[in-house]
Amino acid sequence: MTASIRKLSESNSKPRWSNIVSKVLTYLVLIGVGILSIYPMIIMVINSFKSDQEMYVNPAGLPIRWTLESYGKIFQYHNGLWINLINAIIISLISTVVAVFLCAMAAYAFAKYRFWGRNALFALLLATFMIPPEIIIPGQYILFARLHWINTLQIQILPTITPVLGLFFIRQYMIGIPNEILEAARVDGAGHFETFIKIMLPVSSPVLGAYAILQFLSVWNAYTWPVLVATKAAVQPIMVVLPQMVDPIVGFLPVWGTIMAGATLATLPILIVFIVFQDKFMSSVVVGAVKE
Amino acid sequence: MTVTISMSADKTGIKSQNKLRKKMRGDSLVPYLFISPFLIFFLGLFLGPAFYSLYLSFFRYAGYGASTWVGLGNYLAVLEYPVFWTEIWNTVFYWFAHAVPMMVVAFGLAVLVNSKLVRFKNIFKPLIFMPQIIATVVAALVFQNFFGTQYGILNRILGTEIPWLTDMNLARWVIVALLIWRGLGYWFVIFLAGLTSINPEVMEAATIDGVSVWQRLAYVTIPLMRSSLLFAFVVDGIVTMRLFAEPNVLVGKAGALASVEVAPVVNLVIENIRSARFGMAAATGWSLFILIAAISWFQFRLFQQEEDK
Amino acid sequence: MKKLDKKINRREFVRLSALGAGAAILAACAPKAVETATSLPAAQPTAVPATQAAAASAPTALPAATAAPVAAQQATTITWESWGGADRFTPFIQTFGKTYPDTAKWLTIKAVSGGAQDADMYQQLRVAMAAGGEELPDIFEANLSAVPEFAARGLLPDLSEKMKPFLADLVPGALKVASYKGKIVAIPSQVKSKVWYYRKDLFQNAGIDPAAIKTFDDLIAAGKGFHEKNPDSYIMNLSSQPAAYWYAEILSTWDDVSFADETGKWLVKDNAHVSTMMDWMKQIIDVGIAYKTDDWSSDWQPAVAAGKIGSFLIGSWMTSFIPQFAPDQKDKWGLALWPDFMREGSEAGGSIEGISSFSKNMDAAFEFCSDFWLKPEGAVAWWQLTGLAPVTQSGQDALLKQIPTMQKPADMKDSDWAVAPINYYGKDFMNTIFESMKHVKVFPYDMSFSAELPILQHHTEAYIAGKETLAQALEGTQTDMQSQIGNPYKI
Repeated sequence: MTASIRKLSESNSKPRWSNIVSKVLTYLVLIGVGILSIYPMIIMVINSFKSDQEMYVNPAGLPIRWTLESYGKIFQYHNGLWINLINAIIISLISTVVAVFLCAMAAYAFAKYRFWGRNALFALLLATFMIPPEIIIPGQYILFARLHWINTLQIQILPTITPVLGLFFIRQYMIGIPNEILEAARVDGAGHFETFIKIMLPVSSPVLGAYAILQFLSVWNAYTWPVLVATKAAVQPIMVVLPQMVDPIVGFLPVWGTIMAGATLATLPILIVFIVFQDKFMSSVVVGAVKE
Repeated sequence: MTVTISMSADKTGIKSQNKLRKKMRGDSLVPYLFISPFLIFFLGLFLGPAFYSLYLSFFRYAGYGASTWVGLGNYLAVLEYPVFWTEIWNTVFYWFAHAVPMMVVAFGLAVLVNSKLVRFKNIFKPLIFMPQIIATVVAALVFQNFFGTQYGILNRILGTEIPWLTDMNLARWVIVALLIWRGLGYWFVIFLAGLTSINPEVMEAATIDGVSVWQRLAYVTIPLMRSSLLFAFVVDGIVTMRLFAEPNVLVGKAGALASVEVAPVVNLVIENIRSARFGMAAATGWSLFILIAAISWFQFRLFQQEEDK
Repeated sequence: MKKLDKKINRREFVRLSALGAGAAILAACAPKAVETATSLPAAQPTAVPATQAAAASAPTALPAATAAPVAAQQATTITWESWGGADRFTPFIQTFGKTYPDTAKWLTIKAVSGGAQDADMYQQLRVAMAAGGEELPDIFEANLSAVPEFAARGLLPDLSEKMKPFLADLVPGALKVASYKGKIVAIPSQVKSKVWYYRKDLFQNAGIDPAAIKTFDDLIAAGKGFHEKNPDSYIMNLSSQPAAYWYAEILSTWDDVSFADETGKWLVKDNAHVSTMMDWMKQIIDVGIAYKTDDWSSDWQPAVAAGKIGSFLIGSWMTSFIPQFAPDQKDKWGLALWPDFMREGSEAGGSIEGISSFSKNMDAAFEFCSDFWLKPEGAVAWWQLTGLAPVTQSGQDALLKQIPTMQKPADMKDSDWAVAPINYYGKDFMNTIFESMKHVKVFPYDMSFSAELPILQHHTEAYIAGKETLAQALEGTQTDMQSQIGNPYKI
């Protein structure tokens, strides 16, 4: 025992050469990866301060002429790119709120109630997780077309409000909540829904918050479906507009300065929220994935 | 659910018996009520269209007007179409080409950051995760600006005119680079959490016995994380089957689709819809589903095996 | 917590959750985002290097149209869709207003861009039809290649009656362009003849006379000589993914080039002309006489401006683009007919302005189209904006009369005048264009052309890249068309 402890303390006190080398190497690698991670963002921000013309002359360096011109163009493009930003925010927010609420309610039932068909139904829902939404697009498109909902905001929100993944995550968490809390409320005479709202939701807030982040980001990022169904500028979210921004006259040359300005505006809010709520973001990724 | 019957209820008399019975029946409806909003929307917005898509896949239909029954004709056409198989191959290529290096690097980074060598964990962690915050489309656009032929940043720095995005053999690797760049942070964080969840006593035991870092890695850490790694790889595969934004925004011109040589399978679905061939689009989608089901089944079996160990 | 009766609670719960679901539905059915009027922004300086001016709005030197006074009509707005940048339309609409001020009093035209290329716009139209037709514009431009498809789908109405007064006036080819199965289904706006635009100075330097090139081998030889004498330049551009219109441009040279007959039997594999076309493209690229960039790629315009491309074998619509791409090459560009061996034919035949069958303003739409393209005043104004020849005889005559006396209009900016075609090419360029229109032959498009083209492109590109032999490419094209399309004459 003492021998091994001595060995341990010995190996810790003498700074071995290889120890230092590995430390330096490790830091180099990590710093390198760190730079690679943020480099594209830096490009994006720096280029947003160049004019569209300059982007064709000087894409790589610092702006020869720092200008807010590209940001100004945002108000002219499509009559105001900020409309597209707002569309994206509305779509993502409403989707998140509704999805979290629907999932929480259903998860509550699956987690805390016993009823006929519970396990079978849940298994069935999980099975549908295998069906990627892309497969459904033809059917969805025609259905929504019949309702005359092409080129609306709701067509971009509705397909996102019943995420089985959310149901799964939230149920997992709720299972772990001790039943005593709920029973205590019921004994006090609270109704089912009241118990849900006043007890379950607050207690589940960690997972709800975590999933809300995932849901928001997922809808914010959405591209495949919106690009198909939102062809009018007024309802397009920013992610659909950015790749299509071309010179208004010639029609096939991308306006890089304006694109970068739009991209920066689309990224900045989320980036700021991320920096403030880092841990929540990263733990939301982990919730449900590692927990077993 | 335990039905908590209020102690103050009057148990005597038929009236209260009926009341009780009513309550119990009423209560058993409650879970269904909680589930119904989700379920109704789910059926209407997801399963309904899914079955409708399946139904459509047996017809030739332009989205309006007459439809013609073709039975399995669409499926046969899809399976006969070389473009379908090219795109499947592309998609599988993207999966392996990005997942393998990405998992290895993410795992390696997680090990490094987790190790005692490193302080500033709280700086590196968000730094490495940051690309996940950037929207897919934004990332693809920045990469497009970076890899442009005449006006790209990289070519300016190198002083060359390498057609990164116009030569399809190069373009596919740029797509892989984008996928790795963006996905790294996600798996890094997951692996890190997995590593920190390994019982510290196990790690200590390995350290004290004079085992070198590499040996510890190979014989202790990796085996413990094995199931997570395999799981991650297959989950990533299922997600990659849905690939659409990255290749098209990166390589396609101003909102158009990327060329077939680098296109993923979803492109065929979208193309068919844009040509008003809804039956074909549906058949393509469901053919893709069979592929995904196969991968999922494989993952399920893998998981079972790991569980059994 | 108050002691509440369970029964009331359940009722309350049902009420509350119904409210919740209702709120969710309401949120989902939120009224559409307020549609900001897509008013056309004032013409802005473009973001292209080697500056180009916006297409000039050239007020005509003609007196305003003395049409019979139009009865005061209700204010109507119609949408006009085409591809490319929507701002391109601004001068068009303004000029229309100046040419027909009485009509402009009640008629407002809104321009809509359907995408970067024509194929993008067709996709929008198809998908809009699947969505029930509400999203369709009143008028849309389309190339002849798309007419059979949209006519067969019912998107183009029968305009034979309305067109009667104009029939005798149409130039040969214009009628063909706007017809489907014997009916007139659109207003022809352009007959796209094949025109060879070339840099006079660079050709002279290499000692090449366009008229002397009669065979394919002559072209190759000329290309080699051109690059030798002008080392920074190539006689043309062609990438390994040739632009879609190349296919029709070459194929329309011959007469018997249908891909399939009416019974659905495919004829591609054994068609000598298809293999010739593929072969020519491959040779041009392999020999190295072409600058390797796609038409309409972001490298194309800079290459033109830098003088890397010495000529264009292309359609007559290119007239207005060269001045915009390279304003400082004024007077350097000349026009000629295509080399003899591929002189006949056309680039997709022509374009039409189609009036949607779903339009609620068909009369107003027809009035706009016939004013602009079928009446001589409008046709000349259109020409002044785009360099595109009138499709009516009266229009061409009016134009020929005017050209010798044309000057820079007083209220036109110098920069706009610099890129006006008549100033840029010289006064006699229209002669070549009129001449080229005499050689127009139309490719027999069927309604599945939009599905046939990608397959043809795919295999041609594979052949060019060396991945398939010629036989394989032809075989592959036929097989894929067969399996993917079936009978091309059915929707």
